[in-house]
Amino acid sequence: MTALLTRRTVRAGMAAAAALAAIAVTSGPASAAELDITYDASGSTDVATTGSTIALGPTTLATSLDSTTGAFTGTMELPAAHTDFDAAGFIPMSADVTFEEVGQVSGSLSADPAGGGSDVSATAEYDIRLSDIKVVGFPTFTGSRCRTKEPVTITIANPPDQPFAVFSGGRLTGSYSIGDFANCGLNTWLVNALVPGGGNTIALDLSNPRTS
Amino acid sequence: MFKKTMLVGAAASAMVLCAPAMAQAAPPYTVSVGGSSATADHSFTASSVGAITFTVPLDTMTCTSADASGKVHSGTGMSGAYTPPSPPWNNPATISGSTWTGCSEQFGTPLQVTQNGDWQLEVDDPSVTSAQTDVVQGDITHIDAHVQDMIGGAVCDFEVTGSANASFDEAKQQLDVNETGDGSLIVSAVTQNCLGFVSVGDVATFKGTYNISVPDGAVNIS
Repeated sequence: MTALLTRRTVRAGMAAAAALAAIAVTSGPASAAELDITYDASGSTDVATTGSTIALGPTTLATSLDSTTGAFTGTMELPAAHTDFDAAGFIPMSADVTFEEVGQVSGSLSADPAGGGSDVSATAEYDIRLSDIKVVGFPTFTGSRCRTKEPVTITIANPPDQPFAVFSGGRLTGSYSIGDFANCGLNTWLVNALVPGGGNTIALDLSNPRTS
Repeated sequence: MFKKTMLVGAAASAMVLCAPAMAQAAPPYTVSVGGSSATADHSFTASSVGAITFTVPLDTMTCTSADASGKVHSGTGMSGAYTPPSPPWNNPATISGSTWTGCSEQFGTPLQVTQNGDWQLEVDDPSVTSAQTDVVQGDITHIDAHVQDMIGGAVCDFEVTGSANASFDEAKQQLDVNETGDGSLIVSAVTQNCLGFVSVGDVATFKGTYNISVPDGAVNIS
């Protein structure tokens, strides 16, 4: 990592002034700066209604972290994935699944009160788009606009007994609900009969932190 | 290396006016241990009282506790400053080792802190007296500390050097380090910049209080 890669979006004058103020007064709070940190990310999500597992990534989570508050925003684009499952327990189906990012990931980072690392939580919204739906291997007419009517809100956090390590990474898990789909052509009723529901889980492993 | 405040100066002046019977001691200093000012080295240990804090502009680091050890140098006619080659010693104490426990940065990431070389306690306080009640002003100089993450310094690895304001409370036998960030203590080298939290030249602060224990007896600086 070179210094050039270390982009501090520091409001330079403000940070300098803040630093001077901190020096003049006490050893107290550090100055504020936005630090751009990127992690490699990969994981999977289990869709409860279909009993299927969808791979997430590999991709990157690019964040901008407020050095003082621990608040961050970021982006994590997810590559398309493929899933197979059995409808009604015996009808083989498959589909391509794309999680399309809606807005930015937002979250917070803080010291784990139990020690040993950080507590992190983040919320992201994605439209889930389905394409190339096949039933018993046969293509069905779905079109290119088959997606959830509303973005799916996914909140993830480190498990209580697994503090996150800012300097090395860690696992984030969560659960979410999937709402109804629209614009799936003749398959809309089928998709909405099979996919929407709660209890879906996600696990994401972050690693290889670096400035960006 | 020495830092005096106007307040200390004013207090010293007031003491001169109000307590003429109390012996004043500007340099040279006499350092005695257990009542003896004979030239000698006396082992000491130090244990922190509460947490130790260390900050740079973008990060705050704490250690839950710290211990230190070294030698108190008793003697007379001392300038108060570290004047190598030593011995003979002109400063009252040398901190030759320290251990830092429970260190982490502000988001909880564990850190490892190690002391490099000997650190020196220097004094510069013309207001000290022979009484066992002074709070003697000075500095810890020649500070050189290596800080790294617990994964071998892969992401966070830097060095802090310089000096820190300190005072020694003779009555409590406590050393209070209170470097508020005047630029005398800085990040002098960065191998890994802790994801941008630390940069070369960052001004550092350092706060901690240590109980000093000297088996040979209480330390007095006059």
